[in-house]
Formats: sequence, C-alpha cells, structure tokens
Amino acid sequence: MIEVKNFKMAFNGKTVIKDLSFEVNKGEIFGLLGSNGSGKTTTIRTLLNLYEPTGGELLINGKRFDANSSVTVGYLPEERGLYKKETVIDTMIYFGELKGLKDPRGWAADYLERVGLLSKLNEKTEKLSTGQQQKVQLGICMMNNPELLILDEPTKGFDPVNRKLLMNIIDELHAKGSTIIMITHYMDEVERLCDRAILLKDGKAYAYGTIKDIKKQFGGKSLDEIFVEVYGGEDE
Amino acid sequence: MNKIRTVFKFEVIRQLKKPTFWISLLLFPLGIAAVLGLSAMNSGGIEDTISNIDFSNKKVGITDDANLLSDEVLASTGIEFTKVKTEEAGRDMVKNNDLDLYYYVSEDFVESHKVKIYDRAADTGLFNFYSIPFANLLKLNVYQKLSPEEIVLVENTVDYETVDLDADGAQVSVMGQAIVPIAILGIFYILICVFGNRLTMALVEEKENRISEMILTSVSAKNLVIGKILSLITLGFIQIVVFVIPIIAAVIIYRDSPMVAPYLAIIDLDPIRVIGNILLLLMSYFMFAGACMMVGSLMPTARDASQYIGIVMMGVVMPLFFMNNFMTGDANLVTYILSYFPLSSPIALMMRNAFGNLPAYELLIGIIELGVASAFVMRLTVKSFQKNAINFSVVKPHFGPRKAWKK
Repeated sequence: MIEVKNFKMAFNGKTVIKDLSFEVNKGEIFGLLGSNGSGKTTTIRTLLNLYEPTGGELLINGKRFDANSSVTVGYLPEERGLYKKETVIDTMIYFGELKGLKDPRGWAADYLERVGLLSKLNEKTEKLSTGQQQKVQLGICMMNNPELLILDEPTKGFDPVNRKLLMNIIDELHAKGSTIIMITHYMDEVERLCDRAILLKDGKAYAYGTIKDIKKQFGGKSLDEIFVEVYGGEDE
Repeated sequence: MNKIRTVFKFEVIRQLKKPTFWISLLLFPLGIAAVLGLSAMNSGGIEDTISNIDFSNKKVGITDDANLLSDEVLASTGIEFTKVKTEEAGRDMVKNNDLDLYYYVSEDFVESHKVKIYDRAADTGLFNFYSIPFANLLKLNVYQKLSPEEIVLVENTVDYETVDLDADGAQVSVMGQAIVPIAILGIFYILICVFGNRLTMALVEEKENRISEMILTSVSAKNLVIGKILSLITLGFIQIVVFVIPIIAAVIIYRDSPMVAPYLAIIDLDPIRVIGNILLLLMSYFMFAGACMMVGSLMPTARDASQYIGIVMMGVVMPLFFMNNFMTGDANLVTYILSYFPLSSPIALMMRNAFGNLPAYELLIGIIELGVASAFVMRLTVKSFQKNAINFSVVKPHFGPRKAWKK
C-alpha cells in the first residue's frame, strides 16, 4: 500500500533523511521507530504531501497523496490540537463532514460514549484535559474507517486504562482491514501490535522487517534492549 | 466543491455564533456615533466656557502704551478697567491680588503684534481664554472706524453662491453627487477596520492550534483556503447589511428632520459613480481579504501576524493622507501612484470616483486591476498556506516549491 523509494530530505542544507526505502503492506500494522530527531515525523509528513521530498518517491496506492484522492487517511500527528473555542461535537461533525461521513453526529456520539466523553459533547475543547482532547483527536482520525491510519505517539500522555482502550481500538480497526503506521517509543506496544517495523538511524534504515526478524538480527534480544543498544549513545 | 462548502459552512456558523463577532459589528458604528457625539458636546462646552467668562466680578487692569484702545471702546465693554502705568506695576498688582487680570500692550505693538496677559494660574487652570475677549475688544475698536460695507469684507460674511456646471453646462451639486459614493467608501473603511484582524487570523488559527496537519489530510490546502475566503467575504457582506439597513431605515424615518432633510435634498445620484464605487468596493474587499489572509498564511502565530498586518493597513489608508489629490481634478504623480498601487488603490480610486475625477477608462482599469490583484493575492495565499501550513515556530515564509530546502 505504501512505497517509500530512495527518500531523501534536507532542511536548509541539513540532511535529515539520507536514503530511505521501505514498504508497508495493505492491512498490516507497521512500526516506524527511532530516537527523537531520527526523521520519523518528517517521513510521515512527506508521505502525506505536507513536505516535498528533496529526492525519491513516497507513494500511497501507487500515487502521491492528495487530500482530494479516494484513499481515506486518518492522521494523529505529533503536534496535536483542536479548535479551542469550538465544542467537541461541532469539531467532530466538521471533520466528519470533511471525511465524507454520512452521519457524523451519530458517529461522534457513539465514539464519545465508548471513550467516556459523552457528557463532554457540548463542552468547548479547551475545557477538556489533555488526555480527553487526545481521545477526541483520535476519534477524528478514525472517522470513516480510514484505509490508512497513521498514529504519531498515540499513547503519549495516556494512563494505563486509556492506553488499553486505545490498543483495543487499534485492534478493531486492524481487524476491519485498515493499514496502520505507528510511531512510538513504547516497545511493548510495538511487540504487541506491529507486524513489521523499521528502525531509523542517521537518516537510514538501521533494521527493517518483521518483529521476529529484527529480534533475530540482534541475537534474540527484546525490542527494549535493541532500542537501548541502537540509540543508547545518542543525545535524546 | 463539497469540502469547500463544508469549510464555508463551518466558518460562517462559528463566527455568527461568537458574541465577539456581533459586539465588534455593532460596537464600531456605536463607537463612531459616540465619538461624534462627544466631540460635538465638547466643542459646545468650549464655546460655553468662552462666552461665560464673567468679568463683572473681576478687577481688570490695562496698560496701553500703543494707544490702541480709546476710552469710549473700553467704556463700551461695561468692564471697569484700571489704568496701570507700567507693566511691572500691573504684574505686582496681580501678584498682590489688587487685580485679577492685567493686559499689557507694549509701545511696539504694530511691529510685535504682542499683548501680554497676566493672571493668577490658580484661577485659569490648563486652558486660558482671556485672550479672546481682548481680541474682541481690539476688533470693536477697529469696527468703530469702519463703514458697514467694510465690516462685511473684513468679517468675510459675504454669502457666495456657487453654480457648478458639468460638461454639458447643466448645474450639478458636487457634494450631492459625492454623498452616496463616499458612503460606499465609508463602508469599505469600516469593513477593513472591523475585519482586518479577523481576516488575518483566519489562517493562523490552524497553525497556532496545531490543527494544520490533521486537517490537511482531510481537505486540501486550496479548498480550505477557498472555503475560508468565501466565508469571510460572506461575513463581510453580512456586516455591510447590518450597517446599511439601520442607516437606510433611519434616513427614511427621519427624512423630514433638520439633521437629514438638507442632505437628502442635495443628494444627486450619478449611477456611474455609485455603481463604480460598488464594484470598486467588492474588488477592494477581495483584494484586502487576500492580502490579510496571506499575512496570516505566512506567520506561525497570531502575535507574529499582528506585527505585519499594520503594514497592509498602512498601505490601504495611505490615500487618506493625500485626500486633496483626489478631491480635485488636478491629478499628479502621487494621485496616479496611489490610484494604481494595489493596496492604496481602493480608497484613492473610490475617492476620485466619488468627486467625479475618475475618467471612465480609469475606473475600468482600476476595477480590472483590483480584480487581477485579488486573484493573484488569493492564489499566492493558497500557495503560501500550502508551503507554510506546518510552519509552527519558524518565521520563514516559503512561496516556491518546497524543494527549496536544498540538500
């Protein structure tokens, strides 16, 4: 579903991605891993056509992404926010309509009930806690059962209960056929959810394959141990 | 198209729901009315203060070394003047409370034109109006030596009747023809004052609230910007309606009142000037909206944007500092520069058109120029938002391809 071929990226002369190639298969959960500043978010932004690559190709279903194309994408970015002065329901209806949902109000109400926010339906989003806002953002990403869901550190700031809830939601979307790319620093999430992963280091793929293959490459170590081994010497 | 409609609907409804929208909408005309009212009250107050200066209880002294004022003139005022021999003596008398007020006219008055007034600071406060009665006294002294005809000439109370003729020799009212086009210019001015900030912030909000990334996977930057521009134009028209309807209603209701009737009587509708200014208003608003939104699209935060919007506003109101250039038919280089520089052209062209100083071909060129400028600015705004949508912290505008980040 996703092809990244010889991707290169530089900002003001500073190279962030040297030469990166990988693929994400339809219906899999893929982990995009790396230390801070390793180029994970840059790769996603370029994939979603928010940046123009310095070199190479980043394709979704064989084409450069365009918000008007038929492929439905849900993206929970690292930089998160909502319209502060709008109510939860108005915000969700707006995004729902943009994503082509038939009944955005009904969908939003069902989702908010599920994540325990139905009582906040008419609250302004600025009145919600960070965790509650994150749930609303997550709901927006999941609207219209996206074919591709990209989650940049989705559990950041979540307590264990909400983390578990999120994992279940991801499982459900996966079961419905969504392709999911996860950027996370929690290796237990990767082990539990991801089919395959890539480890970025110095603008290149340091390791790439199934979780089992990656572990094998590092002598059967856990992903946590691998992460420490690969990025341990870096200044986070 | 569907997504543009969604953005449009969302933006219009959310603005209409905001109390601040209605407050700013209604506050501006109310504010203008209040300022005009206060100003009228205040000017009345100054006149009252002058006319109410009471000399009956004051001990007034004078030294007239220039022999300007005859005893008859001084006596005709009803004020009992104490003649003082020297300036020093007069000054001492004020100091010792023997006099409240002392005027000194020096021997060289014809050369110096100077009259010194001594009073006690505690009696006068910040503003001192004691020169006014003395000036009247001087006038009175002169008038006694003049014939009634000479007084009319000196006082400039000649009643002139001007007959303005158009190219066909028909009598026209310059002011009457200008009233409605100037009112249209006034609407533009109010729109930019009330909406300038809102237009600028329209594209900053997504960046400042970190929504850009999420929304740009649902709607293209182009459709988002177009939806927002259309919504803001609609809100602008709502604003015009809210301004204009009460004014028209008030004019109809009070058409016979002395405040309104004289103006109504001289209104002379020239369809070309009125339609011309309406078209200029539309194009100008599109251009101004585009310019403000472009500033917003370039800046990462509202604070950054507000620093730059002043430049746009300055460009737009610049012609107000050169008003004389547009009210007469004598066009010079400044007239043409301000008429065709896109930011300043709205007010310059509308003013020239209002006073009948804009030939038809220039009006047409102006409308086309503003239309082209607005299309260009809006296109640039879309491009710039596409390039800078996730520019959250760095004020470094990009217009060209994002490949400009060279390896």
